[in-house]
Amino acid sequence: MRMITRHGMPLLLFLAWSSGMNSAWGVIVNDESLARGCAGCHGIRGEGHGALPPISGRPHAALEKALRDFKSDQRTATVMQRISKGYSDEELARLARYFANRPMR
Amino acid sequence: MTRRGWLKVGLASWGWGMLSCSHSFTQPGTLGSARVVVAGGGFGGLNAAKALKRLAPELHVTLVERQAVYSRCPGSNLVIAGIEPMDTLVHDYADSAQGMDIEVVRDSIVGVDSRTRRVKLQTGNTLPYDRLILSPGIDFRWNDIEGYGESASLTIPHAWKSGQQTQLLRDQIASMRPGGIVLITAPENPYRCPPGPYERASLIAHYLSGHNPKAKVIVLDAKTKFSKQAAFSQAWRQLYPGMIEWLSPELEGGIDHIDARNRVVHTEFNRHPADVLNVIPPQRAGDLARLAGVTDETGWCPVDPLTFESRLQAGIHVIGDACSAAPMPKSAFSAQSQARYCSAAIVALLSGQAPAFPRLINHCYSFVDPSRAISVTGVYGYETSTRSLTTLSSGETAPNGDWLTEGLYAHDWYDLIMEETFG
Repeated sequence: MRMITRHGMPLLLFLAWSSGMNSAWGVIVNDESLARGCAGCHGIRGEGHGALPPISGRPHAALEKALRDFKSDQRTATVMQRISKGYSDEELARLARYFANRPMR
Repeated sequence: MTRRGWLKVGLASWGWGMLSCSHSFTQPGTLGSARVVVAGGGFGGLNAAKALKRLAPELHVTLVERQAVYSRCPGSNLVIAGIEPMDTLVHDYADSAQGMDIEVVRDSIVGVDSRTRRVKLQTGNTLPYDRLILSPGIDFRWNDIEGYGESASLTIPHAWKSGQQTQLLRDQIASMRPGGIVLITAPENPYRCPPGPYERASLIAHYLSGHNPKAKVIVLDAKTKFSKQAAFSQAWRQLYPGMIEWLSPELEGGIDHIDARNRVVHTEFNRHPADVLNVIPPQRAGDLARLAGVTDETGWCPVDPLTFESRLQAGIHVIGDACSAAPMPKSAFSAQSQARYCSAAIVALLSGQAPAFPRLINHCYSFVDPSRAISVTGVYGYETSTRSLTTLSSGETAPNGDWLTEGLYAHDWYDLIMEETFG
């Protein structure tokens, strides 16, 4: 949303086009919108619940490595190997940065 | 299709359908006076109302729900199998939206005027709205299966809406004669909770193996394949050998009719007598969706998943089981996720901004016994050319997967979604 309100639609359209709208990942999804989906298991603040691990406030590098390793099947998990494949590497990096910057609960 | 008051922005030659809100009933930047009415207090509706208030505390949000208590479907198969008590399924609305400044109106909606943007309530009141979110869940297509109408369901439970039906099926299974047959009929897609019939068969078999070990469970399916089939089949062989039989329509030719009095299902080629008969009927969007004019010939509600706004009525958004958001399945997880994306899109629209593109997730656990679960997962992106969702990744638990760890996650996920929805 920040990108849209600060620069307006034309920049968003330009970015969408210039970074390959027709890629497998389709359109540009902003950070908030990307992260919204994660809440389904990790909670609305990324705080985790019981065995479901917290993701907010964890070190950026560790989060990004975990997400990339799940995607490349170098790290096994019950669910995250499937989920991580629904995001580009660039999106996973943005998600890691987003949650690293969220307060730990 | 006409979208009154909307201005198309962007590059039509790309099929780029980004819509900008040039005229709404509320001017941009005046969110405080904007009103959103949410109809239906299930996983979709309650999560939408809460998400709206989190994103825009100044927004006036009204939740309309006709019942005082909610009985949830997720987890109800554990009750049917006697693993959890019935009262764990029931939640009081009075506790659900406390401290969030959500106006809760206990009433039935009897009319929706999409032109003047008002809903009419049974008590005679009307509620004006800038945006209306409908989350009416499902209703049944009674008598689509000959012999199975609403009156038959009083003795032959569907138990596909939670409450008395859940208890009825539970009681029938608990009092079944030794060596009896539980017959479950599973419908054609799409329907609420695609893996639900097979989780139900698994957990009933779990109960029977301890209490009625010579009994059998038969699933008579309208489909030739089903959700998480490989892992369910493995679980049935491993945990309940010889107890569960799944019958494909390729063998049976589909259900011809049901003799409710004698508990017999007649298929094209066979007849199947049962001691306990559980008919999961074909479904459609809840009655409220039809009342609001947002259903199409499929009985479900076509939406643009960028905002979950109806393709048939401007200003009305449909989420949860009632909407057609294929390839996303109809689940509580989907409903909660759709509620949050829809709410964010509505806040953007009311603020005069473009809605963000969504990236939705569905993840559904099914228990195969009280401590083991399997799951199906999908990640869905927005396809601008068709204004629909597209699957970016998907998968199911492998037959040799870590079912015990997924069982732990499944229990904690139930806790989480209940706390966030009804807590």
